[in-house]
Amino acid sequence: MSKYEITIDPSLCSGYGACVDAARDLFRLDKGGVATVVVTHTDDPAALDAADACPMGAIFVQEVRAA
Amino acid sequence: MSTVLIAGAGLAGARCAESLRALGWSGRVVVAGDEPHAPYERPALSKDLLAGERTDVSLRPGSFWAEQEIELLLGCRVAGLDPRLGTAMVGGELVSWDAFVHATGVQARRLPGPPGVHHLRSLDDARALAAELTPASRVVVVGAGFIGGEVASTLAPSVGSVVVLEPMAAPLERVLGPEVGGLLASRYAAHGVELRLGIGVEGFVGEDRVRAVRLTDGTLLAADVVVVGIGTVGETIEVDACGRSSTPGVYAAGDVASWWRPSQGRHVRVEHWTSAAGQARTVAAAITGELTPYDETPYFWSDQFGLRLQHVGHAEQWHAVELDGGEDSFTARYVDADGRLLSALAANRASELRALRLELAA
Repeated sequence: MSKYEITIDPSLCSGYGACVDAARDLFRLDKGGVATVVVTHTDDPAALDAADACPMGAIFVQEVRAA
Repeated sequence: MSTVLIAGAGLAGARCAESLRALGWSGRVVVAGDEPHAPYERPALSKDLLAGERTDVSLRPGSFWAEQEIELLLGCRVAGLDPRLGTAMVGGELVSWDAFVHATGVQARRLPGPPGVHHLRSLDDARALAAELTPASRVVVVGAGFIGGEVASTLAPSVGSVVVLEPMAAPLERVLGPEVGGLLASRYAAHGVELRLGIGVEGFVGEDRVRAVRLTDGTLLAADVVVVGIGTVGETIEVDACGRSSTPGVYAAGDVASWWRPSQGRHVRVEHWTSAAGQARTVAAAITGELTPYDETPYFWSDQFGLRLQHVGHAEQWHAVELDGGEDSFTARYVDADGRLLSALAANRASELRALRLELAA
């Protein structure tokens, strides 16, 4: 089971792209410049960096507890 | 127990408090704000909130602050800061602090006038303005800056008429130059807003209520509601790249901070969301003993007249503006004499923003 679950609030995203810089494998910007999550469940701690780097606070990373 | 006292409950103050907790700070965190509201998204005031698309613009759910053990003291001004004793008065109560953060922001530059003349800086300002508008309102907006442009654009579909007055020759001319200003001007008419350039305001007519705006050419312009958007005023506090002032234990972040930017070799003060957020995080880290300079490329955005304007970099002057595209979608590159990029504006070109940002940071 993956450690982190990533969600984005697209209404908050302003397309700055810091998430892509922090975690290239987890995020991309769509054609309209809005960030989308490529991989919603991951063990990659870069997810936390991306959430931290987002100037809009639009990225939420939840630690998933093992069942 | 160590106490961090943060003066100001805007984005910078709120983000600083949140970051302290995220970094594991276990001491007391007190955020004092002079408005009666928990931290909210100020950029939404002139956009979604005024458009009636959102009523709740809170930064976090109401329970968040208590859960994080962040003490919000609302409707309180901070006074009597004494760095030597490490104290300040918050709403009449003496608070001892180990670290103090100035995050009080700036205020709207005001034009005094009778009731009906509004400024737009706080949630209460926005609600007071919204409460006076009717489908028949003749609205006059003073200033075609970011606030003026957004307000005019937001209100145009739902009120009787909107006239924008601007003393310069184009909207945002000083910030974005006459070329881009010209492109923006053409959007006003297309969205049913009358833009009058090269004209200022002499005063207001009406006592119990504004009736008209007296223009610098002596003519009167009938108005039911006036919105003044002519910039901001406020004190500034000089800090280093980690947000530390010259007084030990005293920090600043956000609009109030004149922040040392190592890459520019000078202090820069901007009133942007991303800078406030980044500086607040940096100050929180510095308080916990982690000194990581913040030197990121400034960024802001504005939604007006069907354009999402996104601006990266900071240039007060430039050699040339390289325009690509037309009024519906364009990129403007502000370059120096060697063709080096100083700042850039993307209008409905969000996909180009990241590349521009990386070029500026290189």
